[in-house]
Amino acid sequence: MNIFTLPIRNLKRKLPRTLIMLVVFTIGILSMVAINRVSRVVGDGLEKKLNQFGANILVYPVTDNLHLSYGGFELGSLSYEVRYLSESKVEGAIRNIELSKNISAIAPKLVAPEKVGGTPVMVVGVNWGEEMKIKEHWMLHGAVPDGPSSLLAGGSIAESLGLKHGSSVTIGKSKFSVSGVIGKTGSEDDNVIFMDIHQLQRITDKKGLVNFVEVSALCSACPIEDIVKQISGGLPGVDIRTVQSQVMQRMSAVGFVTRLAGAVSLVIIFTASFMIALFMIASVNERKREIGVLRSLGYSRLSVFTVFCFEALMIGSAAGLIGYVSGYFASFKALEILKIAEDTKLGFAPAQFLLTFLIVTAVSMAASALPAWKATRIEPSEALVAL
Amino acid sequence: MLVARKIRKSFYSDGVENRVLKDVSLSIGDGDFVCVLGRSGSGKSTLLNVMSTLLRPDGGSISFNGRDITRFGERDLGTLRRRDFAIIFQHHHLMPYLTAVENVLVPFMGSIKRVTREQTRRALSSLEKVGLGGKENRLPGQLSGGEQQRVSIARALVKSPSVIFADEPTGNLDRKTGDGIVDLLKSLNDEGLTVIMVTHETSYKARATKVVEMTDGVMRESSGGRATL
Repeated sequence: MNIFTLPIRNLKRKLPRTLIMLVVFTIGILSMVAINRVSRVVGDGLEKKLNQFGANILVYPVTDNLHLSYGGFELGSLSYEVRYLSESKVEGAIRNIELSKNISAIAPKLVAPEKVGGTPVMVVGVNWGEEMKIKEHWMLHGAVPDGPSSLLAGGSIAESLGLKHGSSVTIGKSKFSVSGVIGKTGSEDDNVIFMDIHQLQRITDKKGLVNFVEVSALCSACPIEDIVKQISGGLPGVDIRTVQSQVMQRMSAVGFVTRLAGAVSLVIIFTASFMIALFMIASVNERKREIGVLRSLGYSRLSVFTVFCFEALMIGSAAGLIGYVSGYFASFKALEILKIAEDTKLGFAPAQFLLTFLIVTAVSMAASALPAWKATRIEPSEALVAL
Repeated sequence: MLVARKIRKSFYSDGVENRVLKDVSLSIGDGDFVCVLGRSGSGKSTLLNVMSTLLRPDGGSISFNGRDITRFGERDLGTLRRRDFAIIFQHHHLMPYLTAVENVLVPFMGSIKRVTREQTRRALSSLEKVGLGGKENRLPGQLSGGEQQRVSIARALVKSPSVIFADEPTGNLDRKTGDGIVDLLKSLNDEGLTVIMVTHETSYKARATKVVEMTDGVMRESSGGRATL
C-alpha cells in the first residue's frame, strides 16, 4: 500500500461512474484512431487514383536553345539538336533512388514524326504497362494494344485519318492494326498515335532511346522535391521538372482528408479532456473531507495533487490502451463498410500506438491538473468543520 | 511544551468581523490532559484548530517545545502534523473504502514508498490498544459509531505523537460510548500522552489535569479536574 492505493480504491468504490467515464473516453479514442487510420487509407487511395490522371515529374534531356529576337521582334526559340535519353539508364536510375517506393509509374516516351497514308502524324512510342498506370482516364473505344503490331489512335487524328477499331495502318514499312481509339481528352493525346516504344525505336532506328520520361510519384509521405533531388543525383545532365499544378492539386485533395481527420480528432480529444476535468471537479467536491483529513494527517499539497492526478492518469491510460486497440480493429470494419478495404496495407504501428497512448495519458493528466490543484488549496479546517 | 500567547482569530462574513478568539493564552505541559469547555460558539473548537495548526491565528504566537509554530511554512507544518500532532474529530472521517487497519495505515501512505511490515505491525498494535483487536479487516460501515471513533484514535496514535487534539470526540456518540472514548483518552494520557480535548460535556472535566473555559472568545481557567489551578 502507498499513496496510489487511495485513488485506486476510490475508483473501485465508484465503479459504475468510473466505468462510464472509461467507456466514454475509450469510445472517443477509438473513434479518433479509426478516423485517422481510415483517412490515411482514403488519402493514399485518393493519391493513387489521382496519379492515374497523369505524371507529376517530367525527365527531359538538357537541350541547347537559341532565343531568336532582333530589335524587339521575337521569333521564339530554336533547338539546335534533339537529344535523347537512354531508356534503360533513366529507368534504372529512377528505380534505384532511396524513395523508389514512392514511384508508382515510369512511362518513357519516344516521339517521332511519321506519315500515315501520306499524311504527317506524330507517333508516340510508349511502354503500355507503365503508360496505362497514368492514363486510366482514357476512354477507349476498343482495347489497349496487346502486342507490338497494334496501336491506339487519338480521337482527333483517328477522325481525320478515318481510323477506327480494327483499321489497318502502315507506318514506316510496317503494318499495324488499330486496337482502339481514345475518346477525346482535349489534350495533345487527341492528335497523336500511340504504339509500342520498342517497335517505334526499331522503325526510327533509335534503339534504347527516348525523348523524355513521365514519372508518377506519390507525394503525401514526403515532399516531391526530395524525389526530384534523388532522381537528379542519379541522372546528372538531365532536366527534371515537376508538374506543379498536378502536385498541388493532388496534395490539396489528400491534405484536405488529412486535415479533416485531424480536426475531428482534436474535437474528440478536447471533449474527452473536458469530461475528465468535470469528473475530477466532482470528485474533488465530494471528497473535501477526505482531503481535509489527509492534510491534517500531514499529507503535503503535492501528495494530495498526486492522489487526484493519478485517478485521471489511470482512466486516461486505460482508455488509451483499450481505445487504440479497439480503434485498430474498428478501422478495418469501417473500411469494409465503406468498401475501400481493397489493397489496404495498414499494419499495427507500435510507435504510433505508444505515441497515442502517451498523448492520451498526458491529456487526461493535464485535464485533471486544475481540479487537483484546487484540491490542494482546500484548508483542513475548512473541510473538516463539524456539521 | 505547548504555549499559546495572546492568540487572536477573527472570521469575516459579508465584511462583518466576528472576533472568535480574543487574546487567548494557554500553557500546556508534558503529560497534561486539558479539557476545554464552553458552549457552542464560544471559540473552543477554533482554539483547538489554531493550536493544532489547522488554522493560522491572526495574532499572537504558539510555541511547541520552544519553537514558534505560527511562523512555520507548509513543509514544517506537514512534518509537525505527521510526527508530533494528532487530531481526532467529532466525526471519525475514516475512508469508507479502506478497512480498519488500512485506515490506521493512512498516515504512512503519503508517498510512493510502500507501507512496511513494521508499520503494519504498529497499526495492528494501535488497534489492539483501542480495543479493536480482531476487527482490523472490517470496513467502517461494518463497525459501530464508537468503534469507528476508536479506529480514528488508533490512526492518531500509530505515529506515536506527542500531543493529541480531540475536538468533541464524543459529539456523535451516545453517552455510554462517549464515556468509553474519554476513558480511552484518559488511559493514553496516563501512559504519558498529552491530550487536549474540546467538549461541551462538563462531566468530563473530572478526568482532566487542567480545565479551561471559553466564553465569547475569552478564556478563563476553571476549577475542577484532577489538578486544579
